[in-house]
Amino acid sequence: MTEIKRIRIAAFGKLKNFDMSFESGFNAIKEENGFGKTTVAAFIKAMFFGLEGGAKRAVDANARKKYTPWLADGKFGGSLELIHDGKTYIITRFFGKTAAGDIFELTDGAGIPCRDYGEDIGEKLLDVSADGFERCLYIPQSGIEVTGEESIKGKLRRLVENTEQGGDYDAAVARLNDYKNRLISPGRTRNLSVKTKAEQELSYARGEMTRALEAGRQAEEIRERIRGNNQEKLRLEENLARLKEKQRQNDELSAEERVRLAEKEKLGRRVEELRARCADFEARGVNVDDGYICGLREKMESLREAGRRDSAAADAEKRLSGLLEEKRSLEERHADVCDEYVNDLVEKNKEAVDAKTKAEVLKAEFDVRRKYGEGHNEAHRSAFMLMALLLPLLLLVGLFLFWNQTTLAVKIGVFILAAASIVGLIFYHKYQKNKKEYWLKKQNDSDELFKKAAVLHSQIAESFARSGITDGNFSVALAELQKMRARYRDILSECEASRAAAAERGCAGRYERELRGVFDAHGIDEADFDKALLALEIARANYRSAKKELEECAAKLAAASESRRADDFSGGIADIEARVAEITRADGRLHERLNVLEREADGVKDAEVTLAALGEKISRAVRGAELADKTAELLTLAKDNLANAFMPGIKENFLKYMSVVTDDKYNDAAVSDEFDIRLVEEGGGHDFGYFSRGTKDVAMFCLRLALIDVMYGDDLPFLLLDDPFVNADEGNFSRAMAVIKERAAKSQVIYFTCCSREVLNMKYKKCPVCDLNYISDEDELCSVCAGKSSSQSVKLGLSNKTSSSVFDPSLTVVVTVEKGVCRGKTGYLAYDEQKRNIGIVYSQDDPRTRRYGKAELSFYEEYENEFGAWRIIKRNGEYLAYETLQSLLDSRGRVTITTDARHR
Amino acid sequence: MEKKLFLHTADLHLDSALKNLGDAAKAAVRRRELTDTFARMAEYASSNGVSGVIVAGDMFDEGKTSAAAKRQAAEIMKKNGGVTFFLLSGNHDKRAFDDDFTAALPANAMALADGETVDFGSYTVTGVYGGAAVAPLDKDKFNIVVAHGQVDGDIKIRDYAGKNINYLALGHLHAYAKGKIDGRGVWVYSGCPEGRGFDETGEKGFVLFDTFGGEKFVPFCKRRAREVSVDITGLDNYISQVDAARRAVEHMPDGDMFKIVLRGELDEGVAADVAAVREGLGGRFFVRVTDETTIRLDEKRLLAEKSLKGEFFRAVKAAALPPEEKRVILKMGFAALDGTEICDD
Repeated sequence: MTEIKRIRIAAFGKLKNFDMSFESGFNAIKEENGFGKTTVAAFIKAMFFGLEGGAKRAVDANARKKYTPWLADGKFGGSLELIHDGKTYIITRFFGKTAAGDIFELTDGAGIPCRDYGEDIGEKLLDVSADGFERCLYIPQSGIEVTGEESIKGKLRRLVENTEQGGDYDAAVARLNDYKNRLISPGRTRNLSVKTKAEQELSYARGEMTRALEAGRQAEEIRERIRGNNQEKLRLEENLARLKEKQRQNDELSAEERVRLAEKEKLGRRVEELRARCADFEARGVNVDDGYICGLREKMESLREAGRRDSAAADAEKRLSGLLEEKRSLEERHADVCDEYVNDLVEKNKEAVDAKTKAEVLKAEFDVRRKYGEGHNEAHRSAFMLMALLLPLLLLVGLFLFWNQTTLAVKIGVFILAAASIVGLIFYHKYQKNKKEYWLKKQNDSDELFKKAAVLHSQIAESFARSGITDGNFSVALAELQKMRARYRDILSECEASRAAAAERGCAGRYERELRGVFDAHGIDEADFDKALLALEIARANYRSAKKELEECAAKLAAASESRRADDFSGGIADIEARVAEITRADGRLHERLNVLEREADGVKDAEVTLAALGEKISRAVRGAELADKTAELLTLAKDNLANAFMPGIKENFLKYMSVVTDDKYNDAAVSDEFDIRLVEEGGGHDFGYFSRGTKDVAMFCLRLALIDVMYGDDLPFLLLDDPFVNADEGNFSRAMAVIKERAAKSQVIYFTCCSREVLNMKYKKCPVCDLNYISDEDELCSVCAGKSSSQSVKLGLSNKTSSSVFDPSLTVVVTVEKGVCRGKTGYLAYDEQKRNIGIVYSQDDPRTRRYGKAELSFYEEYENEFGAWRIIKRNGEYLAYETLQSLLDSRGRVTITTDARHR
Repeated sequence: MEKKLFLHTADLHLDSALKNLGDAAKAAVRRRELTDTFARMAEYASSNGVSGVIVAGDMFDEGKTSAAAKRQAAEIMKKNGGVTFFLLSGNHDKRAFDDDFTAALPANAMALADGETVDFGSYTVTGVYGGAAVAPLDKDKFNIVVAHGQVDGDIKIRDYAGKNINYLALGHLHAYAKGKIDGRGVWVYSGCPEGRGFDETGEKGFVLFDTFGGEKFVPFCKRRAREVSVDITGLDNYISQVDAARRAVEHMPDGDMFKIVLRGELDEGVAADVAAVREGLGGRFFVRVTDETTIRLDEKRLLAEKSLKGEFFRAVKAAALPPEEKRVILKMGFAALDGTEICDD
């Protein structure tokens, strides 16, 4: 059991140079709000577990930051004195800005450094982690509410599981699922699973395998072909051998035959040579006839002619240019008028001349008339008319005068005469008029003719003027116009001729290309065509000569062959050798291809290895995933088992506490495996959220106690409460305090409060000496001031404590000086109350344990089921040092000791 | 009678895929080394006055031997023309001994026919397939019989007793072994000249025997396959684990192939760092590392522990699963609960 005796705060949060002592049992610490009760509780936790800080920036989440002394000159830390299993330890810690700057020291009650525990003293002594401490042994005022990153229910569940945050069932299963997904999940798009990646590689490797197998198949085909070729070669070589044998036999002929053979060979070689030469010539096409040569010469002549024409064409082009210029000029002068135009001019001229002539004749006539008769005629005409007019008039007058004196005949005659005069006058007048009109017309006609002649002359002059001819003489002008026209026609002809000449240009290039192509086809690259033609002729001559010689040699060879036809194997040998060579060449190519294919086919082995490795990888991944599933199943089973193991006890104890604290108001409730609480009120179960804050606080307190009971039984080290019932009514409060009192009888309870009612209910007055610790009404001094030893409180603690061991804790043994061996260790024999030698007491010789050098009891195997494997030895509640035991045995011969069934 | 020296080998498995190496590049190197070892044996035979090299089966592998491999083998034999090669096909290379191969064999190599006895004057060589019976041989000669199979399986030694056999050259087992046929002769497995996997560990080589009755095993392999168990109990960091592995193999040639099996007990939250050990033994031709460690468990504590971990331990212990699965499940479960990395073995 562990109890806190004293704390000394150098500086922690708002507290500086602060001391506080504690007693066994119930310790009520009443201080005002803002005193630092929570700081004290945090200090206690910090002494046991150190300070976390980490990277959390929020003050509430970062205890190191939160409790850094307000005053800069304060050394951040302090010490805590405790008693554990009868031994006093002093934990001293000072904290830096980071954990790297923290200082830890553990000493015993005498201040001597102690190696029984390290910085993890909290975990070792209290059997919980820092997180577990908050969940279990420390019940803060605000701890009952849902705060922080997860619910209290989650924390309680982890408490049941005895796991750390992140180490609980959910986190473990999540890790297993994550592991499984890493192995086989098909759905990952980034960071492919092992199986998916391997399957992709498998697909590629299969492709490689297929390609390699195909290469192998092709290689086999090629080998088959090579085998076929080899067989063919074998057959041919057999034939060749036979022929060569025969050939060899032929070689044994007479010298003459040999000479003939040599000559024949020579002829044969010459024939071959000439054949090759002729073939070359024929390939070059030099075997042309004379007509071809003539054709070429003509072409060359044409080329030359074309060259000349080219030159003429160039001149013609120049000339054409000038002619065109002159033609344009003449056209501007209308030299391009047609014959009709000229005829029209001539006609006009003739007409004009005629008109003028006529006009002059008429004018002459008129002039004559006018000169000679026109006035006389005029006087005559007037006298005549007057007389013509007067006469009748006189007659008439006379008639009238002498009407009665005249006879009828006279009258008629006068009338007739008057009438005749009038008529005659009229006719005369008309005659004269007509005559005048006639001459007038003649004058007009003459004028008209003159005008006409003038117009025509004007037109003619205008026409000539358009052509730039200004000579007034028609003939001269006409001649000039005709001359222009003739020149224009000449120019047209000349242009035609020049164009035709110019069109001839370029012919030479065409001939040249043609000739070049011809000579190139014949393999003659002379630039000069004359030389090229000469070369062609020479080549032709050479070809003919070679051909002739070939025919002669072939004839000779044939003649020679004919005489030896029966013995000739050379052709056959040559054929066979050629065929063999061909097969060998083909084999060479096949072997090259085969080498390539065989190299590719070798990839089958690599692909096999890769496929096998990938298959193995996939199998392992699948197997790993299966095992992960099985692990998760077993974890689930374990969780259920655990819940089933703990939950009934938790529920039972919870109901018990709720009933007591609420005075049976809530004597029925349901607690789920997830710590969801439903309280029964007025006959019905209601969700937790329906209830008041005070009821909730009480319920969570009861749940905590119930859980602690199950987890620790009566082996609770101590309990820290920081005003947990602030919202509870008086009744509940009193009853809760009763429960706490009952617990305080078994283990230390430290209760911080700012309310006096707690103090009224429990210990109220402070020790008059130290004015620090609270004492009951019955006490006068606190235990510290009274000098009470920690062993007493430990003894008290021990007497009230029940072991959580599954074995009988209350074992007292007698140790004798006789020695024995158990589990490889030598020690003093130990006897139980039935005087059975149940084991030995030996010295713990492992320097890594805190019980190093202490006496321990090891049970024989046959007593293991009854007592366990081993136990700690204590005397008067303290670890018994082995040396002490030895001393006692030396002096007394036997020692009675108690044993503790706990292993820790 | 002049003493004649013979070299007995078998199970070369030339051109073998070597799938169990799991590394195509290494497998390719190893394949070449199989052929190199055959070439070295042939050169050894030539240089040491060996009259005949007996290959008692499985010269090639799986019948998928490439033509190039066969050509290489024929070339090796041809190059050592002073030695006669006696070839017997085994259960793995029946198809490899096809017409092409036998036709390509040089003059100093022969494929033994079933029951055929080749007489060389002072000694004979008989090939036997499938444990077939052998007619009694000339007692005045040194009689060598070549067979491929399992003694007391398809090869009954008693069937060869009394047949005047001096040396029964066997192939099929990949390790050197020998026994007596009768008062006259011995049966010998030469084993394979190169270990191809970690099921063929130990020294490999060939057997040299002579007509005067001498016989000895000659270690000859280029690389040994070694399975090395390394106890990393209590070593809670990779540095110490790598050191332990290094110490375990420091006296062994770097060119060998290593399978390192990490064994022992590790504390909870501590894992065997397979990758680190593998990297730490880098520079060697081939290293495979497996983890067969167990968690150091205080079974009594766990059995009594009231926690998820304790309950899980009890559940695994009670589960009807093979021990190896339980080991892995415990490791996985504890790693998952402790928040440490879950590794596969």
